Amino acid sequence: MSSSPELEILSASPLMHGMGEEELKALLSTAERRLYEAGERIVEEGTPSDCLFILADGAVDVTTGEGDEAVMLSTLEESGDFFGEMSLIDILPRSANVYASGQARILAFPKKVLTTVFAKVPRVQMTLVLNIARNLSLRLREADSRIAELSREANASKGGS
Amino acid sequence: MVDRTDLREAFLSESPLFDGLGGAEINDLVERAEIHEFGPGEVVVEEGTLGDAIFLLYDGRLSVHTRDGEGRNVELATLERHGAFFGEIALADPGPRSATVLADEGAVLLKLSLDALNGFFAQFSDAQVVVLRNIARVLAQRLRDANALVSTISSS
Repeated sequence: MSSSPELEILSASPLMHGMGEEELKALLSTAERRLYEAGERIVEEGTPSDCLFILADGAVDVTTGEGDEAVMLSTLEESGDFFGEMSLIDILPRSANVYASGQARILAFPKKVLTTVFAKVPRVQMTLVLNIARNLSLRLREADSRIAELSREANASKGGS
Repeated sequence: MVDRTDLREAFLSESPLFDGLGGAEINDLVERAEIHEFGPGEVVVEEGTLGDAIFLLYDGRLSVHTRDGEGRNVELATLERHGAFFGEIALADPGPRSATVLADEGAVLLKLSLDALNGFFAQFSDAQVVVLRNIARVLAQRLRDANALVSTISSS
């Protein structure tokens, strides 16, 4: 692909799997470039979801809870990693906080602007939703095997009864 | 035994999977659905086989099983609510079934094969994104529940 570095980041994102170059360009034309400094909050738990984010460079921490109660859920550090994708699926408030763990360069796609792309190129919405569902399915399978593993450990510690 | 009018008015149209579809779309889905009856203890789907259909429970009770690392049977869940469904992952992420489902006391199920659904989507092109978004919503809720369960077990 003869393209900009941003287009390459986008095309390598698992969220964009199956998207053509023209579709990626249409999406990229709607992106806001944002730079966050270490410790800056990008997404606040409990607030309305209105934006999809794709990590261009740097790393972010996903946490839940505040202050002493805060629990680290995961770190995203691959270029093309994404968060806020649930804003395209449901209207539930954000389920976690996201902080820049160092300086982070991020492509932000406001839902309002994406909607105009979806109206022009319906396949873009279909592909995004399909990729989101695939990603959820993968994470659900991982969570289910974690539950099976934890239950097995719990049973074993009861003396294998 | 199963009345297709009832399927249309009280079953598919109330399923969260088909939320947002219109009357003509629901009617078409009803025509494409197959009705399957299973006797007590019969296997509905088997872990490891290719998932190629979505099932909705019309009547009866099902249990969901897997095997642990030592090959022992583990019962994961029971499905008995009218309208409960499984296999929806097949539409987004085709792959082997992650569990075995048994008809405990016999069950009547509505089956929508991937072929049937693809035929439906070919006819109603706007419906596909609606159904996929519904599936993603369901998966997101299941993931939230599973993550909550992981935290509960981890901290107990």
